[in-house]
Amino acid sequence: MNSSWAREVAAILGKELRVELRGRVGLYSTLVFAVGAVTALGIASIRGEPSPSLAAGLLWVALLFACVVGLARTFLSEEEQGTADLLRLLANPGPVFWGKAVFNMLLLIAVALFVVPLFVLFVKVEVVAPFLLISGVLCGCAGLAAVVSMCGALASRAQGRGLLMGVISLPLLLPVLAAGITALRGAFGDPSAESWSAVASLGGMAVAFSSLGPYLYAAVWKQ
Amino acid sequence: MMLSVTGLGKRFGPRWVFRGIEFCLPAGEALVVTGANGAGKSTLLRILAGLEVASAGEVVHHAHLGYVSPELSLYSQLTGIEHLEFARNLRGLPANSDETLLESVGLSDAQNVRVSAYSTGMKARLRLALAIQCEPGILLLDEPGASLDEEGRSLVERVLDEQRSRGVVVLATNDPAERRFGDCELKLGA
Repeated sequence: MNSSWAREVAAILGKELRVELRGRVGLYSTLVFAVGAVTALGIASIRGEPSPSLAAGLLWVALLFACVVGLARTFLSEEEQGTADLLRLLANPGPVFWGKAVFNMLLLIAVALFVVPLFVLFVKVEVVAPFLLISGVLCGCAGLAAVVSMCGALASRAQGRGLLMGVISLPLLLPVLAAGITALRGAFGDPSAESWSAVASLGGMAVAFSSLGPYLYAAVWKQ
Repeated sequence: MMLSVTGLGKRFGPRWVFRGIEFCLPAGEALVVTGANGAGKSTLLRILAGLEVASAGEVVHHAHLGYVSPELSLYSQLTGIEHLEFARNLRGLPANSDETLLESVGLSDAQNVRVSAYSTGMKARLRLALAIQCEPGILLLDEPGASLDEEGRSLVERVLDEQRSRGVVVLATNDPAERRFGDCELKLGA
C-alpha cells in the first residue's frame, strides 16, 4: 500500500465518519434494527435458554439484517444523492472502496459492541469462552461488512440497486454466516464446534472480499 | 495540444445526441460549446471530464481536469472548508491553501457553514473553488454563470482569464455574455 493510496483511503474514511457523526443515519438505522431484533429474540426465549447452535444463529440473524439495512447505503447513497460524480472526479475506485469498507466494518463493530452484551443479557445465553466470542464477532463483522461493501459497490450504479444488492449479497453472505455460527457455537458452550478454525475462515473471507472489492468496483466506476 | 478530441459521438439507445465531434485545443485557447436544450452540451463536457463513456471516438489529454456543473452535487453535511480539505487530501495537494481559495470565490464568511445551508449561488462558487483547486490544465465549465449574481459572474470572468494563462477552457453556454470569452465555437445540433 503506497502513501497515495493510504492518504486517499484515510480521506474517504474521514469523510464517511464526519458525515455519519453529523447525520447518524447509518448508525441509527443499523442499531434500531439490531436492538429491535434482539429484544424480540429475548421475549421469544423467556421460557428457556436456547441451545448454543440456536443462540449463535439468532445473534448472527440480528447482526446480518442490521448490516444489510445500514451498510449498503454507504455506496448506494453516493449515487442517490448525486455526489458520486464529485467522488469520481477526485478519487480512484480502489481507495474509495477501501475507505467505505473500513467505515462499514467500524460501524458494524460499534453496533455489535452494543448488541452482543444486550443479546447475552436478554436471551440469557451462557458465554463459556469470552475471547472466542469477541474474536468470532469481530472477524464475522469484518466478513459481513466486506461482503456487503463489495455487493453495495457492485450494485451502486445499477437501476433497482436495492433489489440487486439483496440478490447478489445473499449467496455470498451464507458462507460467512455458516462460519460465524460455528465460531459462536463454541463460545456459547458447544464443545463439538471447530470454532477457532471458523474464526480463521471468517478472517480469510474478510480479507478475500475486501481484496476483490476494489477490482469489481473499478469495473463499474465509470460505466 | 492540451486537449484533442477525435470522432466523438454519444448515443442514448438508437438516438445519436451528437457524433463526429473533432477539435484540438492548444494552451491558452477557450472553446465555447453552444446548442439548443438537449443538443448534448452537458453530455459532451461529462465525457471530456471522464464522467461518461463516449459511444464513439476518443479524448486525449495530459493535464489535470477541473469540472464545474450545476448538476455536480455536494455533500450537504460538510462545510465549504471541509469540501476543500477532502478534495485536497484526495488530490495530494499541500495544506494551507483552502482558506485563501474560499476567500477568492467570496465564501470566506461561510467557510464553516454546512453546504445544506448554502444558497444555489454559494454552491456554484464552491464548485468553482473545487475545480480550480488543483490549478487544472483543462477547465470544463457547464453554464458557469447560471444562478450567480453580478459579483459571481465577475468571478467567473476572472477565473476564465487566469485559466487561459495556464491551459485551456471548454465552456458550455448559450449566454451571449459568456460566449464572448471563446476563441472558437462549437455548435451542437447544427
